[in-house]
Amino acid sequence: MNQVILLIAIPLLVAFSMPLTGKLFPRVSKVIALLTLLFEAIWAGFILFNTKGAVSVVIGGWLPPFGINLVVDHLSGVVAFVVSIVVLFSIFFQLSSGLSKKPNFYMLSLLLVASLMGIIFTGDLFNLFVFFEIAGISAYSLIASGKNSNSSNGALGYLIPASVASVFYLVGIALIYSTLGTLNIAQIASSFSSVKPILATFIAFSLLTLVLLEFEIVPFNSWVPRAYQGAPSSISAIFSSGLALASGYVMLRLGVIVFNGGQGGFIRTGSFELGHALFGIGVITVIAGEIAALAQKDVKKMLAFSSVGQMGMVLVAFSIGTHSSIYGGIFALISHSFAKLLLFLTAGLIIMKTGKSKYTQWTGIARCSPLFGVLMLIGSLGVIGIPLFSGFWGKFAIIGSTVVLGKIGFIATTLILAASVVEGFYFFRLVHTMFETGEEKVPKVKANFAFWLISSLLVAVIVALGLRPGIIDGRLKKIPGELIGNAESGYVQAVNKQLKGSKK
Amino acid sequence: MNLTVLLYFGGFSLILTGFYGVLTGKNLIRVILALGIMEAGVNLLLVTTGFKPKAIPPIIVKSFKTLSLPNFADPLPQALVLTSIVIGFGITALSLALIVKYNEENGTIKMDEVENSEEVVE
Amino acid sequence: MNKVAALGVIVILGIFIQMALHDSNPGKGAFPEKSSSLVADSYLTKSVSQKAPAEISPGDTKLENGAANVVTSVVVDYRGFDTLGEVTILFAVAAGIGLFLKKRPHFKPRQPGTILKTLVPLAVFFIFITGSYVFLHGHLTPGGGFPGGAMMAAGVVLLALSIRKSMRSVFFKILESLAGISFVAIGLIGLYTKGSFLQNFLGAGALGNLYSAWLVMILYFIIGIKVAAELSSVIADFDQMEEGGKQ
Repeated sequence: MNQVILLIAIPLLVAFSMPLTGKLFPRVSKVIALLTLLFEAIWAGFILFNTKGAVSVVIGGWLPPFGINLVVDHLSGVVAFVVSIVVLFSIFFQLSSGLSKKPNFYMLSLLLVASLMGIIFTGDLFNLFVFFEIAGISAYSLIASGKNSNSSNGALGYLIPASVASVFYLVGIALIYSTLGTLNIAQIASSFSSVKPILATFIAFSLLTLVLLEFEIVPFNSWVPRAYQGAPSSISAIFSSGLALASGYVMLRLGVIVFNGGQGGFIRTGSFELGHALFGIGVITVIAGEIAALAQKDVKKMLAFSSVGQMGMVLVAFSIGTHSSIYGGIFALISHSFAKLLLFLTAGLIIMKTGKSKYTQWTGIARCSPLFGVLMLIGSLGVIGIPLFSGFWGKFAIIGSTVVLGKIGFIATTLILAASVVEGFYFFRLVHTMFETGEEKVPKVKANFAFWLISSLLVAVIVALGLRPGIIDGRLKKIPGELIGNAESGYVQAVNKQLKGSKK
Repeated sequence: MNLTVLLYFGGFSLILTGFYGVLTGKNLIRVILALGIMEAGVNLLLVTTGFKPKAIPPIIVKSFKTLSLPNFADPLPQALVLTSIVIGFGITALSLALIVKYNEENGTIKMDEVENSEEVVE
Repeated sequence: MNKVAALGVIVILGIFIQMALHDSNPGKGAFPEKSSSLVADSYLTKSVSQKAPAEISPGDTKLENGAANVVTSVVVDYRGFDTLGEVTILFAVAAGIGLFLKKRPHFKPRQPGTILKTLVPLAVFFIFITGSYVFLHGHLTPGGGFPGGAMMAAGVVLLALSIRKSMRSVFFKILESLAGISFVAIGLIGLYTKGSFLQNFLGAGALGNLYSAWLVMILYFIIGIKVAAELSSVIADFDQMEEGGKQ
């Protein structure tokens, strides 16, 4: 398990060496970057395959809380594996489409993947902040590299709120350090309940602002449409499927382990029902996201708002905090990642080849090249959660956990179902338009081998997860048990075991 | 008044002042400056968490007994604030470069004008 | 945003902060009587992985970390992973600016005067010496790689302003790249010889000597070079953008 650090160190090493290799062998350096991403996916798979339970790995030989530690458990393993695959596919698409010729683009995507891995594995609150900042800075630059005229607007529209949120995150860190005297997440988790309640609530809010912002939750998601529209499609795909997944993961970690002390049920800090607040925010996000998506004509913005709606649903699931809701939330996140990746890459290719970014202009595209229509259809079905496709099982488990909640559960269930209907409506509107016969003649869209490889793999994953969720269930079902424990969660136990070992 | 409380007050005042600037600012350069004020505030706050009255810097220049530890200042917040300053610098440099690009694309460094014109195009 | 609304947000936030800081409920508050830090004393007595020695004095050789400056020992050794992240941030900023800034038409600055041209090399000489002194003594005195590197970069800026020729960022990029590679490589050597990433495999040396705390010293040297190269390359990118047309 020591080798988990390679997931962060190797992309950093390759990124640092790229100015050098870029000068010496300009063609090879991009291929090296791609191979590094392939290594990431394989290595993350290897780590996940070997995970038996929560393990803490030290860095620098210093035990936590003095040094920084990485924690590997089923949850971080699964999320890291999915994120690495998402980044690999998106960058492969970008490289094969020949859009970005600059080596810096690949350098920054390596930094992005390294920082996402850091966000996922780190066991230290301040280190998490550092990785969020690396992810942010690479993301702003990658958005600004977009060719359309909105790219710098999108990048600044993301940078400013994210920087404000990270200032508040640091305020939270300062207050935690002055009250509890440590920055280690596991140690904070075991003593967080002793903090005065109003202070605890303030700390929770200041830390969560940054996380919810990256998680695209209302009211912190004003950056989403602009950034998604301005960025190259592969980067939008990484945001929607990678960054949102990683920050959802952090939300789950902080919410369930730290603020709730590893107990099940609604998250609460002291006397404040944080879980209910998050539940409310989640519900509002679902409504706002789906309505905004319905009103959008720009396809990338529509997909962005659909992500917002989905993330709202996941937040609702996480805030409930029962075994089945956490399982459902993670399943929904993962399935959304794959389905949205397919949608963004297909839409990105169509926009690139036809130069038309609004769905109303897409009339007849699927008549000439029907496979693209089929891909969009499968992606949409995966997101909406029709049975036989991956999204179904996540939504099914979430609804299963909301219906038992009484009155607010009834509201949540109704909303999630209504949201699915709205989602169904605008996605079928999109696909329907593509299959309509248009008046204008549309050029035939052609794709290269790389795109067909990526998309067929994604379709296979979406359908396979829909038909037989059992293939990943075995690992996913262990996650809630590791998060929610009787006295301490498995995560905290793993770190504390190491702490006790050090005192001999 | 306790000095720690005063320092906290100063830090939070800077943060809130900067936040007001970010919320109301239209000129992007001003918004970035306001962000800088917020960062300064939070750095003050971070360093205050290691503050002790009459402490000496945590540098070992003469021998001391570990059981009766001299009144050293807490080294960790100072390390954190170093990281935070560097990150703040990075954000400022990047956002200034982004503003240059923004100006090239839109011909202005005001935020609202662009959003309005975008709506007209759609 | 409307000014009144913004003021409202600020006031509400301020009241929330005031309530949080002066919370009268039982529990741990934001202003503890005594420093609540669980880690500070172990850093100061160098007793993270071994029992604290009874006395610590300059010249001790058996310590777990040989840096006299405890802040530096935290920055580079105990929490060295954060610092790797930090240099990565600067690297990302330099790479990002290089990625999205387009080369622009020339903006002709005024030629510098004779006094500037003559005196700047002299000043830069001293700036470079001070900068390298600061990052070589990071484990002994306040300072270290970041301030030292920033000083060196300031010298580079001064040179660029006085000579007024287009700076080539290639040189800085390569320097930066080499420094970055060696940082991660040192981490990986620690991983494969001692068992964890960035672990000290060089020994602690005698506390307070210039040649002590080898890992801290070497890493701070690398950081100094890297920071200087990164900042200079950012400036060079802005500068090249102004020169334009040549590439």
